[in-house]
Amino acid sequence: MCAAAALLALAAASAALAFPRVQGVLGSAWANAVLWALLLVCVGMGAVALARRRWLSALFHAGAAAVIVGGGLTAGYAKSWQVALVDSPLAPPELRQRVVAGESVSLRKFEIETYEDGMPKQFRTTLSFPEGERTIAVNKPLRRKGITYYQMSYSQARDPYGQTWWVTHLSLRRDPGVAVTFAGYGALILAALGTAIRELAR
Amino acid sequence: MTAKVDLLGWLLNAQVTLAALGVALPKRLGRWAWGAVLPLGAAAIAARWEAVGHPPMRNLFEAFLWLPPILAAATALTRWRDEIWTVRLDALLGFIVAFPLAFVFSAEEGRLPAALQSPLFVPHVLGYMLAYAFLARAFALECACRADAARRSFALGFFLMTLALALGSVWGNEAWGAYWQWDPKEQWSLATWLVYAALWHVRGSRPWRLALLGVGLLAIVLTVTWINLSKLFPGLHSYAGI
Repeated sequence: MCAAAALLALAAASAALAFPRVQGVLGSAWANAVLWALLLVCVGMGAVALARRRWLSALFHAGAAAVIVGGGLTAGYAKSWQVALVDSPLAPPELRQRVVAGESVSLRKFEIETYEDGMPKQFRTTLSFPEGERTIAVNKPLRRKGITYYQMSYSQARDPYGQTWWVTHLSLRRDPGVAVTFAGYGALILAALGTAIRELAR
Repeated sequence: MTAKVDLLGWLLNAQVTLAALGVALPKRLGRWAWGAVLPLGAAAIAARWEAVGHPPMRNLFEAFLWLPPILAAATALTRWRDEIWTVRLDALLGFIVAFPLAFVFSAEEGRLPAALQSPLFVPHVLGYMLAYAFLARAFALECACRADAARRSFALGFFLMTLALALGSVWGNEAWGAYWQWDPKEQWSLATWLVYAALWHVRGSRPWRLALLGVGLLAIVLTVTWINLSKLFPGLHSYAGI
């Protein structure tokens, strides 16, 4: 009963966070205290379930705890960099390349694939790394030496001679929380599947 | 509110009619009327898929296309023969989702933007549609005092919802570089999931079960409709308009 009431309160808080005004609460001492409490409750309930040999419940609560820990790691230690590169041969080098973790990364080409009616279908950026060229596109990020390169969007820029060029917008990200959170998802899914099978067989 | 009069439109109108007949007609006839929604719904999905050239899941209209045949399939797979009330309830739910599909949502066709081109697109949306169907069913069954059937439907729906939520998060990480962005739809989906998670802790009490299944269903309805329509919530899922 207590757990249900607490989860309902969390649900209400989660729904409220969809309002832009309420989102300011994120990262505050209050929000962090709630997450720590939640983590403790998940671990505690998982331990109780384990002691009572309720394996699926234990796995589920462990999964929920892992998601919270992963979220904490992401919130505390993830870093991202927004990078805009200009696809013009005339652009000065600092607009076409960046130094990432001590290595020079430069823009080789940017392409937009369109549907017959002209709407953009996919866009991809080819980057040149010390070891060779690699292409990234929307939904096809590149993982390299702990950093993930994402294709985010594109825009146009005009040079001093009045000519326009494409600008590709990338996001580079290093996130130590992803693996932990995704392991948590795996546990949640497995436990929910096991529970569903148990209930259907009953 | 306008009727759609092309092939797809008539497939939808027929589903609304058959679902209504499934609720109203006596035993055998009603059962077959509702059962006919399965092939018609599958045909509607196929027609739309053919017309737009991508899995029809891009907006509310396309996602809702999946619900009546999913519900009809759920009826066919469970208690088709003996429990006529289960059939009537499924037909009623089918009518409730088929009606806006036929007469309210816009069937405007659109191209798939780059962010939606992912192998996770189909499992994420289909998982959610299945989950919503089973959880709505669980509420209807609980209302009709079919506790065992409701329990099974809920357990299956909760698994599917967990899976679909996690897949959506993994997909967000692939597409945008973040598995959680405090987007309104993400927040409401989490709230919905938490409401159903609460139900596991009070399974022995019928009032709690009824209340939580009801609140969960309300949260689902708000997540799929209001969040999309409301100007209060600008967000990443905004392509999913009516």
